Amino acid sequence: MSMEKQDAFLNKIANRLGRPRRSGVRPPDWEAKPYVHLYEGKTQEDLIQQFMDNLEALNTPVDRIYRSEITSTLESVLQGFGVKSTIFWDDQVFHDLKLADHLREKGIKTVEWNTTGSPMELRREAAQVDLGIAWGDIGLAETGTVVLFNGGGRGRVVSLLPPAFLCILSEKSIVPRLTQAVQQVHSKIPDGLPSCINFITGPSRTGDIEMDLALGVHGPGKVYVILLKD
Amino acid sequence: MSTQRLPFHERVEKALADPVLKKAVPLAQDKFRAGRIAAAELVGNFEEWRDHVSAIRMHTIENLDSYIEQFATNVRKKGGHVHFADTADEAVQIITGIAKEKGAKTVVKSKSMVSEEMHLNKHLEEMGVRVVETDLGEYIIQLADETPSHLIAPAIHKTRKEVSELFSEVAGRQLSQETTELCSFAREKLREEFLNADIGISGCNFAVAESGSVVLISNEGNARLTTTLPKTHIVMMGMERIVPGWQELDMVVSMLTRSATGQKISVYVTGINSPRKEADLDGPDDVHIVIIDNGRSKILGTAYQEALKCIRCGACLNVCPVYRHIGGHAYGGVYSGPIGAVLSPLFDGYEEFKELPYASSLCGACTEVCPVKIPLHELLIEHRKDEVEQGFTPASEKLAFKGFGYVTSHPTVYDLAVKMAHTGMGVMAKDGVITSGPGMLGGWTDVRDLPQPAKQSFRDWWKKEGKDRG
Repeated sequence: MSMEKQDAFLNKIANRLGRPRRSGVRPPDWEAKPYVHLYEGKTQEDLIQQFMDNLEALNTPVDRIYRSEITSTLESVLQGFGVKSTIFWDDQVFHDLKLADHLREKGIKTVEWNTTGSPMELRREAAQVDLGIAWGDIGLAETGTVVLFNGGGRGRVVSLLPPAFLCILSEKSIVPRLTQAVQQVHSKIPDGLPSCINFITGPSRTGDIEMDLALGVHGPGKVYVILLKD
Repeated sequence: MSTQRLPFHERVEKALADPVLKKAVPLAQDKFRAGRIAAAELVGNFEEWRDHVSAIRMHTIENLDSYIEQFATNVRKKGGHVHFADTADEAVQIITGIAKEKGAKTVVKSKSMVSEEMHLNKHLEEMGVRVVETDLGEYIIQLADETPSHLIAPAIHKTRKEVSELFSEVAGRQLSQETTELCSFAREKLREEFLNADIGISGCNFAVAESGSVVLISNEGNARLTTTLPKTHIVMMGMERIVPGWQELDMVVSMLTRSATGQKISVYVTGINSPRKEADLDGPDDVHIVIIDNGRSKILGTAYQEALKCIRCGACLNVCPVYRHIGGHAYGGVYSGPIGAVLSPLFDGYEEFKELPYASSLCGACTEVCPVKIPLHELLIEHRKDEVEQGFTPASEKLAFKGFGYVTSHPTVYDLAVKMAHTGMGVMAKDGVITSGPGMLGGWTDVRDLPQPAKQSFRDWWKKEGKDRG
């Protein structure tokens, strides 16, 4: 791509706007903050409740548990979704939770997203297993959204290809809304963003056939969230 | 595609005679509209949001050259490729060029309205590349060989019976008309396509200048699959899709989903910030971003500039009484409803779309709901003005207005005309009502009666009676 083409393209825009080319413009410091009243005065406990309520309304069960209760909660997820095989992120947070051990103890097939498998093998596994498990770095109270920073041992397709998805996150990471999440993304720019960030809110859905709601047309149709009391 | 070949009035007639549309369009409109109203109430200060998001979009458009430059620089810094296309042809050349270079056999696509502007699928298929649309609605209309009829719900004009027939043909077995069965067939079939495709082509809801990110919004997850599984990802981006930073992205996304379906957020909002990094075990090796003008720059600096603020939510379609009756295809262009009536003549000229600015009652409902405050109905009036100035009005209308101008500026002629109106039109009247008028009058009397003009005009009455009462 020659820069000449880019310059011609941008010069044309400047021309049409009837002024010389501009470069390095930064947005103004917006005075309007029309979102503040949506969470003003809410305690962290309020936000956690709101997060849970929003997900319940989207067919997504949420369990709020102590880390010590993880095995029994996993048990109910596995049973509820009829899970025999799983794929999950290779990440310190899951090592700390001893996730792989807990699953193996229950006789579940486990695949960790790491270089012990080739990318093609991993992808094949992800397309075949019953459940994908990923860690949510942020939770948004206003919408019931979980935010996933993918990359390395945190495979994108873990939350995408299996028919069911389990997201685990700490209740400390619940923030009021998208506003606080994008601030975190913004602050990571200098160090480099991961190649992909997902904001996920409940199960995959469509209304494309006569406006009739159906779940799981492409992404997971079943989603479960575990919120850790930290 | 074939509907565009028909003249406007025939497209409208066809739509009005379609019993499926008559039910499906109001159903979709009412559902989306109710969702939007509920979402706006929940937010409370929706007007403040509209002002703010409008200001963000305005600022961006006014500084578009700077933000596109910043975006392109950041994309390249992280290993992505940026292409610029002035025209549809150039965009097609770039994309078919990449397909050739990669030896692509199959392309999966997630929804992209800009790709419709250049009939991309046709061009790829002509060079032997199979193209599969993966948004459920887009997949349905691809199988039916049709075009989208709504920005958000492209296949609202198809019944479940038609969908079942289309899918059954692909499946080679009879499928039921149950939504769940049809969806699970689509999941299975399209999953196969995703896993085997060589290239994924997506649109671009927003491009974040400060980080060179492409943001895609979807409920189904097909946009994620399209941009994750194939080795090459091509983004087709209308040049005005830019936001300065993530802070501004928050505002436009919050407004887009609420205005489109009433959802507080869509199921998947995905930020694609670079091609696969070295440590990543999935994601595309190559990301190509094609920044497309195709008629947008000529809107800059004109009375229509605000139309470029559009974030493609479809709210204006969902409140439009005209769209309600004729649906999307009657508009004949890629974009339908009020925004289509504004954009199509700008993109493709009055020659092809001179009727669209008149396909509006000017009720202004569109302007009232637009999340970025585009004065849609005012722009339609602007179009009408421009059409008159450029001579696009029919000869009979020109003659009529010329005559009207002459008569009303000459009092004696006017008096005479008013006196003659009663007797002249009396020929056609029965019991003081005209039910079937000739010529242009027929346009009125086809749908309603016209009272015969009164025997005595107001001016006559005033001369005789009114003065004394004053």
